[in-house]
Amino acid sequence: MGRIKDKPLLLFSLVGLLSNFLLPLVEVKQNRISNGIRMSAFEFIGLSELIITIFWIILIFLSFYHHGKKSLFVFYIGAISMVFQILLIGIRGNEVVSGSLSMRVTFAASFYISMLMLYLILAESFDALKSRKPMGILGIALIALSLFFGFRTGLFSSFSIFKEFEVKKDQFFISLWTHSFLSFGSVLAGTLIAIPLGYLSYMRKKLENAVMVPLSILETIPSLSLFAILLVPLANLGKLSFFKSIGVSGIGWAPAFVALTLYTLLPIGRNTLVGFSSVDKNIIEAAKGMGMNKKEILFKIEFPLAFPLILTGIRIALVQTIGGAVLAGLVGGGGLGSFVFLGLAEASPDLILLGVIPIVAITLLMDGLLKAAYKMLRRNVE
Amino acid sequence: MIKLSNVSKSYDGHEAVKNISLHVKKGEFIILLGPSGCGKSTTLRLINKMIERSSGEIFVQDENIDSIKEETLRKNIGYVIQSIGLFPHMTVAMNIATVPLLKKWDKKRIEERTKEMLGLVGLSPEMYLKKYPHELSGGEAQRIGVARALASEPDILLMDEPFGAVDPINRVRLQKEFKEIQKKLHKTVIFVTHDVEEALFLGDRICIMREGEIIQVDTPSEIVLNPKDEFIRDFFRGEGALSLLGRYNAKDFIEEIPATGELLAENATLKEALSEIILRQSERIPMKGGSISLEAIMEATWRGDHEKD
Repeated sequence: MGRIKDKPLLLFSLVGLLSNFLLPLVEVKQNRISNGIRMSAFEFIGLSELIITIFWIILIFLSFYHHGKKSLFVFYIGAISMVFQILLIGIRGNEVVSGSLSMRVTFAASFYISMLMLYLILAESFDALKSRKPMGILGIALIALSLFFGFRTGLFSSFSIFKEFEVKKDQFFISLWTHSFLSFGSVLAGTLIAIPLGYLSYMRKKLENAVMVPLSILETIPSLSLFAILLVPLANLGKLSFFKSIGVSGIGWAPAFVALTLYTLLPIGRNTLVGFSSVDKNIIEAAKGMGMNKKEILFKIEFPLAFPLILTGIRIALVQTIGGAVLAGLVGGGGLGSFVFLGLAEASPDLILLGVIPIVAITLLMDGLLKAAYKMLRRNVE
Repeated sequence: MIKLSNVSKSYDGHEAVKNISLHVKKGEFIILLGPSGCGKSTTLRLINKMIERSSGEIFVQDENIDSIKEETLRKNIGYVIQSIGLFPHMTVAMNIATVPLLKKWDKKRIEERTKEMLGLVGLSPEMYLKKYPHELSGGEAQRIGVARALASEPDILLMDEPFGAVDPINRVRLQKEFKEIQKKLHKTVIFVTHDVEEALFLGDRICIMREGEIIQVDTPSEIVLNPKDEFIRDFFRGEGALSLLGRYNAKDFIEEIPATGELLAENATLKEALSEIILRQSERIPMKGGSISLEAIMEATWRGDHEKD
């Protein structure tokens, strides 16, 4: 065994392995509010847990070696281990619950730590795949497919969040839709406002502070205060028939939408400014010297070159907004936040998870997609 | 072709260009030479309206540039700058096609023209069309810069220290190639540089500037042999006369007298011939069809009217 070649991998797999031994994997509860029995991985899964332990040990060993094809191997071991763990818990969960409607299996510390560590391992080895990226994408698709398969065949029906899901199915999809509308809608609105603002402060250097300082101040206002500030103007706006007809009032979706939009202005506006400022002046000089007018320089040269950075701003805003939209639940704006706050009120962690897990999933998905888009755009430019 | 009469440019009190007049003939390669800050780049940029002049008149192809829209003017004048300014998000093909696209040429014509331009600057279309600027070396990028400036068939080319950022070996190569290109195309070129050797090698005439004023406009040999004042004499002291020899083809000075030793290359310049004479410590060196003598080289330099293309 030589020197450690991959310190992050060693750290992640050690933490994952230790958590399996030292911390509870799941909690088996009689019903949604009772205290459950905490069980470690070996207690709950039994001997099959040995396979998962072997996966962890392989990963630990791999961190001592350096080889060209290693990352693909690490990626697939991680992916298989992740799917295998979830499916095993599902199978075992169904046995334990054995048809009882109220009994459920709630995830505990070791599960979350393992999943987080596997996610980090997957993310890191995926980045290192380089030309074998398609294999990685195939792996991600296989993970998604097997989880979907598990879901459709009822393998996860003993999991507490699926118990909650079964009860609140209709409300869940409405909330998911509202949440998506609030996050994507406000980022879209913010993009349409912030790009011109960023461009304006690039064109007129004197305006930079006049534009950027208010946006920074806006960013520092706590969201609850912002809701309160918006209450009166939006209530008044709601008296006009057009706004009334689309449901604008002091509470509901409108203050959430407006507040979320306002929060996206700084990341997108600032990145637009930085993006435009980073365009090499010599390139603009050459474009001008070749007879492009201002409009052609903007659309053919400046905007395409600034766009990757603007996209990064949009990504930051979107990630921040998908999480931030939880607060819509506080002002009657709906969204997945309503599960979170209902769960808090009912002291039901499972209900909170029903809100939080989709948020985490959507956030990771969007972050990954937009990062990939950024890389595609920068590929040719360096 | 291009006429500047009594042109001045001042930036808040400071006069960068002082009342200059210059007439550039069609097909002429004129060099603006001078130390940095002498106003040579400013003069160049006044012609394609990158800078607005303060007073005087400029005519391009007998038309006052005030009566031409600036974009139209620039589309019809090739422009090459030191930093090249290739568009990093576009392929080489798209870069070269920039002005033809702005001029809305049809697709087929643009495609043919792009390939033709790459061939002209000595790069193979198959290899380079789809490349991006970050994949090019400095010399390749500068060749693409020249190809881009020539793509829409402008009659006039403005070049602002185009080879200044390229390493010395590649610079000499680019200069030679560009001279060949100019022999084929006969563009009217205004070329800014502070490199004496480059100026003497490339220019049909050299316009020497100092502190915003034109001091002398003359052929390279006139400028080296009959400088108007001490400043110019100092400017060319040392290398001037030798650089001048670089303009002449050795084969134009062949005498039908046999000599022994290795033959001088057929495309050698008088400068290279002189260098060989010194290295071989012989007053006469052979070349296909005769030989070159030290005496002939000296005479050619002094007479100064042997400029043949």
